[in-house]
Amino acid sequence: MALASLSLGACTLAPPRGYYVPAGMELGPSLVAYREQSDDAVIDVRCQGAYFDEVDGEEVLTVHLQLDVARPRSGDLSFSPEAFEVDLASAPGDPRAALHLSEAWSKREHIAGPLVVSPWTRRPFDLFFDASGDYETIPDRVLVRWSAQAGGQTLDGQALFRRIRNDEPFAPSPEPIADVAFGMRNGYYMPGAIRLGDRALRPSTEERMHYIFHEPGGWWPW
Amino acid sequence: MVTLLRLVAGVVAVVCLALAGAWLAADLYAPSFVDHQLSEMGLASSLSVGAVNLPRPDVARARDVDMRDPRTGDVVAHVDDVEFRYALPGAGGWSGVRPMSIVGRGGRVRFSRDEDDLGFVRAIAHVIDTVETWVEERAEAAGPAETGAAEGGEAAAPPELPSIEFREIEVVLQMPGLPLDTLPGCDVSVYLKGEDTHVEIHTGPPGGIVLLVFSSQGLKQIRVLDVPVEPCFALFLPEGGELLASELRPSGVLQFDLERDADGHLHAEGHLDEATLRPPRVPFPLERSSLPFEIDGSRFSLKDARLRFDGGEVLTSVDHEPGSLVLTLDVVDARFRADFLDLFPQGHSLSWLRCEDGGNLELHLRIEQRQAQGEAAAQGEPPVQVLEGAIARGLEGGGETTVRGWGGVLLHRVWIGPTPESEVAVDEVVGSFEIRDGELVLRETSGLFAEGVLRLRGRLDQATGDLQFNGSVFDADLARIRRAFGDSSDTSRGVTGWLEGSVVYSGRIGEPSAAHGQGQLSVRGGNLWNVKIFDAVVRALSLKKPGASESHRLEVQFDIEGDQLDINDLRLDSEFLSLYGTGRVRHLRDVDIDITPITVPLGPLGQLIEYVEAQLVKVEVRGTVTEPKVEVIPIKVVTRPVGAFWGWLTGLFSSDEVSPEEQPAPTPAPP
Repeated sequence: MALASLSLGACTLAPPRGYYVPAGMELGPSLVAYREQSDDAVIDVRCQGAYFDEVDGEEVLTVHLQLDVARPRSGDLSFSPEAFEVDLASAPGDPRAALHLSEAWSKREHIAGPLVVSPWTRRPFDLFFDASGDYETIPDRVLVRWSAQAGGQTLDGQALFRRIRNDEPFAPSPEPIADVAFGMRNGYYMPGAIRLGDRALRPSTEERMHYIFHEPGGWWPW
Repeated sequence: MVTLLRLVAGVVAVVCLALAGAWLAADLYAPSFVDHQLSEMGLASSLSVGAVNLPRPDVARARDVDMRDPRTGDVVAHVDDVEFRYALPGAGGWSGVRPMSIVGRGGRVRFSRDEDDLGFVRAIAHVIDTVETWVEERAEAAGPAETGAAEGGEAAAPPELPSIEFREIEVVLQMPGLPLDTLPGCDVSVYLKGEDTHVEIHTGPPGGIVLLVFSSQGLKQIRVLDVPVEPCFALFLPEGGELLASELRPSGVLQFDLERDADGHLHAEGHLDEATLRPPRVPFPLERSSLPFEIDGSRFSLKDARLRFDGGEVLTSVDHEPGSLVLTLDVVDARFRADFLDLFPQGHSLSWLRCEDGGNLELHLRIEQRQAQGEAAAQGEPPVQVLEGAIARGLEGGGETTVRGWGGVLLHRVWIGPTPESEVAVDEVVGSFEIRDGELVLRETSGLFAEGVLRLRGRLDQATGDLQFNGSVFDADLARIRRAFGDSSDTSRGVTGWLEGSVVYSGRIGEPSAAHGQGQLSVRGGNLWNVKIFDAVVRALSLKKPGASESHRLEVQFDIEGDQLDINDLRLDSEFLSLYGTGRVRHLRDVDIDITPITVPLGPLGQLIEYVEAQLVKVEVRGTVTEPKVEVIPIKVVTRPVGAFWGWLTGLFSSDEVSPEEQPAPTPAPP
């Protein structure tokens, strides 16, 4: 189905990528983050797009989020993977189910269990939410919800992102791709007229907060 | 055993007798008579009367009555005017005297602490002891009849103590090196309770009570209730404790109870409520605090005292005894204040760092100060002077002091930069630290910087200011950094890219010349040709500026030596133009960089032409970062022999192997 949608996207010249900005925030020259701050956490959320890529040989629609979480108190802050949810419904009554966390990384470390941030530290996460079902189109909005435990406290939060139109100033879609090894341009993850292929941590000799998980899977014909 | 009641009654009777006799002899002879009587009793050095007036046979008025410390001779109590009312003595010794009342008005009592005790307390104890001796001697000399003993040999009931009151007395609290504190308008009353003499001082508004209880063995108890206090609480601390007062300058309402047992052992418990402390170097008062303390002999302890300040509170404990001081501080979830930095020994020298109020702080600190007995003896000092030199200096002095602790901090905003014009903001800085062996060890600390992350870890020697750190920046948006510098000039517009870098640095706070380090930075995924220096180079070479849509990459390797940045390798690559450079930047402003432009794509052929190009043109960049001056040096002429060229090309010879004769001609000086 996803493959079909890719083909359909190609025929209609619809870009198979969606770039997002936090709802209500002004689009700037570079990627804009949503920040949620409390006494227990400082959470920066960046939506690195919704795109079709391949996971274990299967075409999926992926929503890619980057989190930078600071824990400014004693005691761990822990996100349960099950508590992450991405809602792609563009309108009330949209039957599409919410996506759950498919894969999580912190720098080069693959995270299988809870996403834990130690006291008085900042930790980056790359979160991938995959949809392999009926998701044929790039969503117009992405609503991410989370829940974290900090001591006896439960911290619930959410961030709503809207899709950036191609004709908006600073829209990243017409931008050429940055050098492939670096993978970023203006903070956007691998923009440009390419499609993203198999998802896997790419080797890198340098230390980064967020690594690259794709190589260009081919040039997109538009 | 003569009871205290009889002792006090005896004192009063003697004075009354003296005054009555003086009245009979006429006012003229009264002072000398009183002096004689006091001298006979052995009190001449302790009590003196300035003038005596006998308005009525049963009333005597004395002026300027002084009580002196028998050791120092200092006046420790002075009463302006005292009225004695008494019944004239009849036959039968002391039983004939009926002292009715003693009322004093005006004057002062001075509580002055010295190495042994309070002078006033010592003076009272001395009077009681002297009178007791005198009475016993007279009783033995006179026999039972004069002492009022009944025929059966039993002593007669002691006379009732007259009411003794002193009004409008000023209580003066004085310690060496401390400002005076006065409690005006106090009322002092003296009465007997059992065998003890009570001196009760009612302080003026808002009111409080100081109760001194004397037994036949001297001071027995001090009880303080609701007394507003400035430094006076230290009057009652063990020796050395007054330094706590001079350091902390406490004020508040004091409640405490001190008892001295028959062996002279002191024990006290109390608390200072609504206290305000003003420790040295702490730029804000600690207010609304409650300080429960305990004194046991020479040991002073403060347990779980809560010291509140604007933004949080400190839970602290102090354990002080001769030769040691242990202080613990615990701060949890306190709002970060910029002036916290002043608490660090080197904080005032951190000119590159400016924090804003706001954030969170957790700190757990244990400070131990110990002095070995042998060391103290060798220095000829008593071991109890562990606090000598004051707490703050002691903490800085190292040696005997160990400071250990850890904590965490969140700073909402930190400004980093040498000048306000070149500061950059780092937000939401979070990290933890450890304090040990005189070092502040900064564990991984990170902040948000131009949409990226700035990371720092290192250590600072709090005594010397020596520091080492590793710093990194990840994914910082160059455009935002330039905006942070306020650089919105047309030339610099369009400078974009993602900055990454790292530096290893060592140096000393306040000594820029001691800086030493090395690092690298790179900018990728953006357009750098509008950076003023590169823009100037391109213009000087009359080259077409590479397109903004190209992906440019800048890599710089540098060393830090004092206030100079040595650029070992600078390389800016785009598709059809590259710049290679080396040089230096002084004071982060003055530029001295030589740049070689290469205008061909790389590859085997490109390498050849690149070499040739490198021999043809050099660009000297001087001036400043914001106003670079560029000079194109045309043709260094191909000064290298062909052999060197082949060596370079084939890799058979490194450039280091070029003989001095084969070195290129020196670069012409700029005009």
